[in-house]
Amino acid sequence: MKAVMKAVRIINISLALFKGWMRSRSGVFFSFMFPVMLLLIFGVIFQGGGEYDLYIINMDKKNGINEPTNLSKAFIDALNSTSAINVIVVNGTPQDFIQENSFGRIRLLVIPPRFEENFTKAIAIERMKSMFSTVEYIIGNYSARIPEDALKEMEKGRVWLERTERPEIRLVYYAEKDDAVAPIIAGVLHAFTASFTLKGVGAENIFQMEMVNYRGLKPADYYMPGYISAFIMTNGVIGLTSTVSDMRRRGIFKRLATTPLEKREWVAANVIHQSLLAIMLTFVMLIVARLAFSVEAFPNPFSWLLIFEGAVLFSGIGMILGSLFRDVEAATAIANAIAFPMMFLSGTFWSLEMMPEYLQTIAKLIPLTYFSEGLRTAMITGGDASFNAIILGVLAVVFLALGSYAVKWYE
Amino acid sequence: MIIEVKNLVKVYGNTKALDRVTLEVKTDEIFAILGPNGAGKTTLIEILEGLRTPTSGEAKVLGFDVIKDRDKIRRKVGVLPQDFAAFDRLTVEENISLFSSLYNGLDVSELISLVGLEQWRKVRFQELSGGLKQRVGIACALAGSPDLVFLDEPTTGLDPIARRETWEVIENLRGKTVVLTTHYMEEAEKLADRVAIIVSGRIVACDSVEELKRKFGKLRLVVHGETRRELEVESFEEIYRILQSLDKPYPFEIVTPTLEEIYVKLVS
Repeated sequence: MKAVMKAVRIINISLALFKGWMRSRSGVFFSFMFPVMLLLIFGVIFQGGGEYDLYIINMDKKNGINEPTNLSKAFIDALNSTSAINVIVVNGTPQDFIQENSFGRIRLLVIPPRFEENFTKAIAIERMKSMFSTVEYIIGNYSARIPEDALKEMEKGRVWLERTERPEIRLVYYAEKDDAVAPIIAGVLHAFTASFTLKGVGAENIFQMEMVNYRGLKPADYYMPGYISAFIMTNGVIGLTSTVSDMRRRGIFKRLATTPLEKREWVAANVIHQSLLAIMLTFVMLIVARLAFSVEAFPNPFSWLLIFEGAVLFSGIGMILGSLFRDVEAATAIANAIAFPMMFLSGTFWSLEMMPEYLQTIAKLIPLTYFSEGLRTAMITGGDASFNAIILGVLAVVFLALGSYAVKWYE
Repeated sequence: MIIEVKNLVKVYGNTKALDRVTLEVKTDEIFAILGPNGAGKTTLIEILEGLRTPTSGEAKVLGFDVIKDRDKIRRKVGVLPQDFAAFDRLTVEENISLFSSLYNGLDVSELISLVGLEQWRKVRFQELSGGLKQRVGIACALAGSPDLVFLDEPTTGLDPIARRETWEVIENLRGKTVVLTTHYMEEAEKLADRVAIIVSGRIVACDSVEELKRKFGKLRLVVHGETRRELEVESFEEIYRILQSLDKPYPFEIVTPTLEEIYVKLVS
């Protein structure tokens, strides 16, 4: 019965906090509308790389050395000279390259091994075909004058030629599913290969182009988990700081303390409230990212664990700050002074690799870094974020304990 | 006795907020603690509510010790703190319902009607006037159906109409024990069965208003003769003797002491 009453009290306080939040226009704006606006703005601004960039991986190397064959190099130079496409030659495997550049829009053409060998063979076959048609004409008109042995050899050659297939060169072209420019570049590539074959071989196109559509990651994929984590942080650090400070200043804590409600129940109610906001924010961001940028991510149970840990951790920080300052303005100013640098230094708005080394070191000391990185890994790239979850879990426990201690229920 | 306080002392740094306070509150009475600002009224009441820890002395509320049993006390008392505040964006009904749910307490409609807030039940707390907010506070204080209610300066800052309306609500609480603090004489005189006057942390008087007047006040006889004469007298017999001794039957009036006069005398 006691446990039921406790649960009822916690739920009712959570609902009261939630209703109060829902009726606060600024609260709803800064918790939901603002991150959605940022996602839309930055998602559009930073969408994609150059319009007609084409990355090329040349796998046709000279025997024994890691240098491209002359013909494959000539092929790339010729393609670059068309000026229809901006060619960028890169190294590595296609899978690695796509993985490493997962947050930019890329198109990749892979020149296969034995490109030069096959192209040369195709030239030889085409030339032999041409030569053989002359030979057949001679046989048809002058066979009586040709020695028997020579005719036999010619027949052998004809049979070989009939049986020998002209090699094809299979180029692999990787492009994102919804990349509108990708088919245009594919058309350019087709025309170029046809022309290249005609000049080199004097025959129809020997290139086959296999188009591989992959689900590429866009700026929105990068920003969405970042914004979810950043605004879970601001809801806790800024929102809860001002709530705690205001409730303390106005004597609401004192009033609640004279009811059967216990401090730990109030703390639990706030954690539930903040977790609920975090879940709602995640869903809103997922829907907007899906509709506006076709982001297909959906949080797995591990992501939810990170989201819960983040909500708890930043609620704890909010409780500490709110308890230190009775003046709401001062408390909110301090919370802002902590939240905003944390947001900008944790890789939420730009990749940590873009920052100077000393700032990268500072970023490692910021809890939000582990939250946004972990969430990005768990939600988007599908990697292992267990280290981030452990760090966040430990910090959440520590800060929640400190926050609970800091809240002054009564003297 | 529903409250027993013996030699209660509370010290903040170098300031003695309460100095050996001893008092008793009887069951079902309305007991007022009267004193100037900073006299220690709120400190005393907050110790009794279990919100503050005394430096020394003893206090029992409903038979429970204020230090050891503060959890038991707060489940059984109703409290209206000074400057009551609630959840601003919740309505009157939602706030009262929330407080009631914390106790598993009284029906919300019953509470709303008890404090006369029927027509404001759907109005948000932040949109209410000071008097209406205090009524919400009283409803919240009654949410757990307590036998003992503490009202800390329930009418401070209210306009005269709102103050009288709040008095009516408090009057309706008769049947419960009510301890209220105030610095309004009129309020104590109107509502309280007994009054304790606290000055600089010390109880300087504690009794019914009539007894306080009798103990500390003087009757005055004002005779409107050829000149106006005002005389302090000890008893009605003395008045009778003075009037008999006048050469003419001049108009006169007998002025009884007010609580304010007694208060000013004791405080100064």
